[in-house]
Amino acid sequence: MMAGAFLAFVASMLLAWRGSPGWAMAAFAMALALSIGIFVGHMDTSLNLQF
Amino acid sequence: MSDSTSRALNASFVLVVCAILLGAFSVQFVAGELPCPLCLLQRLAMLGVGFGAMLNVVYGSSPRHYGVALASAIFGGIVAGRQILLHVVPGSEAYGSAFVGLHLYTWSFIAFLGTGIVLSAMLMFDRPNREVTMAAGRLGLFPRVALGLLVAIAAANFVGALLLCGLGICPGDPQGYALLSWL
Repeated sequence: MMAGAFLAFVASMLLAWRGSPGWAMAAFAMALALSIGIFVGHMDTSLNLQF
Repeated sequence: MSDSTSRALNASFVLVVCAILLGAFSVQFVAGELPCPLCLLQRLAMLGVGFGAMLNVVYGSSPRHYGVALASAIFGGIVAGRQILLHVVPGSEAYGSAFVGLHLYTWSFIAFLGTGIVLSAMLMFDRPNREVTMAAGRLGLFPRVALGLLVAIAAANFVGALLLCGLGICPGDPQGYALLSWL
């Protein structure tokens, strides 16, 4: 999951570099959504995860 | 603010983001402190801030690009704030060692707060550039080096996260690289 979020960021940057702003923004949205999902998932105490 | 000034400022901003992420790497590989999931999320948020500035460098400044960076800074600030609150609970120990009197997640919170303020100021004073679209290959040397460094750091973070967490959920208090132990 975490590696997937990083991979989405790498993809968004490469797409921006290569001149595809639309796809870059889509990849960024995916990376941010994954990050927020991981954060909310870890915050949920029912998962009983500690930091 | 002229287009060239805006590009130079945003490229400098990307370099500051790179310096922060390289600092996190040095704590991981030099000091040997493995990052927790919240630490990795803060790195992701900092990459998002850098990505917004990168869009400004490549495509010209736009409120949309500043929005990308600001959204990431807000997310990073929330994650860092959450980690601070976890460790101020009486009886709970801090995570990692302190740097200049403060723990890294507190520095991270300060960095995201500062980033939000700087981005808001740039959004107020930077004029949207409608000429737009400059392929990254046609940029000057300084912006290209800054953007190349950011992409390289993002890729290194991907490899690091893959080694640390594998394909599953990251351990709360990592003691080693999960993927290496599986192999």
